[in-house]
Amino acid sequence: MAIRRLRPHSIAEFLQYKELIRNLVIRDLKVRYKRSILGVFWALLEPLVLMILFTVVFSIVFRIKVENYPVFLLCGLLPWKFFSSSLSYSSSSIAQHANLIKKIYFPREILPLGVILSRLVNFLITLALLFLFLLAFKVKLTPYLLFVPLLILLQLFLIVGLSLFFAALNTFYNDVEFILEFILFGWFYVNPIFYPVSMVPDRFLSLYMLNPMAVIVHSYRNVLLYGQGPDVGQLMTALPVIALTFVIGWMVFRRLDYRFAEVL
Amino acid sequence: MKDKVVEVHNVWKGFRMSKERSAMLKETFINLFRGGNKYEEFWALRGISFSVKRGEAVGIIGRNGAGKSTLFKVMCGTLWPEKGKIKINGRISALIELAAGFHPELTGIENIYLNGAIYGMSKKEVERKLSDIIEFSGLDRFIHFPIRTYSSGMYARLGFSLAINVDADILLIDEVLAVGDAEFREKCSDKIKQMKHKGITVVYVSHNLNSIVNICDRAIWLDMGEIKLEGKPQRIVDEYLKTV
Repeated sequence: MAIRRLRPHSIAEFLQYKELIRNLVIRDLKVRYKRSILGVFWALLEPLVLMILFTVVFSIVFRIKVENYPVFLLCGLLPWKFFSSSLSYSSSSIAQHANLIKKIYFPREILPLGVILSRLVNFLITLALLFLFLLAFKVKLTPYLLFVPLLILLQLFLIVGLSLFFAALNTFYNDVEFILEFILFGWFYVNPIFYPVSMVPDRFLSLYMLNPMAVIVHSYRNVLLYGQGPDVGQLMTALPVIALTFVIGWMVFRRLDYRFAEVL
Repeated sequence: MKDKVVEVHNVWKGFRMSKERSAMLKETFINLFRGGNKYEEFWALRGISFSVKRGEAVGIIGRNGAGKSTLFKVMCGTLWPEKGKIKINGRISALIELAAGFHPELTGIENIYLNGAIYGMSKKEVERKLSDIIEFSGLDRFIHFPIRTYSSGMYARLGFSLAINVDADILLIDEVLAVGDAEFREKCSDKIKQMKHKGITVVYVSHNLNSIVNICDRAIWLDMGEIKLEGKPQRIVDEYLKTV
């Protein structure tokens, strides 16, 4: 019974299904906003409400001293929302499509990837909102903004790796979904989202920056708000971590996906 | 050699049956410490071999639990065999319990595009086939309604119309002809025969012995995961009926 047969796999096969990915993304977006009156504005409303809430709590009550706190916050909050919602939505994507998986063959990665890409579209919409805020707060826009696509790409690799990992495990053990919620809950605090990196004690800083999401959030803020390039040293440490996460995530998924139809 | 479109060679497929699915994480940990597997093993397919020639229609019959559905899924590629090889030369379209990938909030047309993509069709291909699909389904103006408003018969008709319009070399059919009214069933049988004439290979899994005799050139009788008998549909069905 232990004989494992990994399924044949080729990039060409994957490309054949790009139409499916596109369709899944469209479906995801359509279905999410179709039956609500405010429609796509929900995508913008959520970060706005969070921004107001966090500003009240951290800027007024806890008095974290940062200039332009609402924009400062958005710069961290939006990438984090992209990250956390991608992970939690995609982790259940396989189980949600049990019916499809059991009946039709297609590369299974497509389901989590579709979720992630629809979250990416959502993120890009919220980024447009951020730019409005940057203008409203009279933040000077610099050529360093050109780093944004690169940061998005890095973040995507990280998200894909983690999502495939959790989606695969979650198919076998429902517990994973709950564990993931805890992980995300805790992970939120070790990113410079509502506080600046400068508040992290120096002796923890190098440890703190081993978290690739912290580097990414910090870089977004440098690029968008402070008109600086991202810290190259930090990016260089984050890069191998992200690459490793991506490769391991995909390998774990590939190792398990041939049994999805059996356990669902 | 080349006109063997489907080759199934000594295929074994087993399942681990664990009693409680939701307790799997707990079980895994417990088993780790005990060092033993608390699964029951069940072999659904025990060394199945057969091949299908281009343009041939093969029917697969057998009791519940004989391994028909497992064989079907292994051929579709949704399940992987533990042992053995399956060679498929060409594109497969599987007519399964239809509408597996339909989304209730989307309209009939939107679902055609989505599901066409699930079958691996390009957008152009779907566009080319769109009017055929809609016409065959007989859904008319309902095609623009979200399919949550459809009756189950309308669901099935849409699913069948789509699957049958995929340009496939091999058509795998599992029990679908049981859906829809008599008229639609008739239409489906005709369409399948038509496709057979065009040189499309058909593998048909069913309890409906009449339609096996009606459609197929050869029948395979599965019993306990093994091939019990193989031959002319009428003869196989007669033998099978003696044991029921």
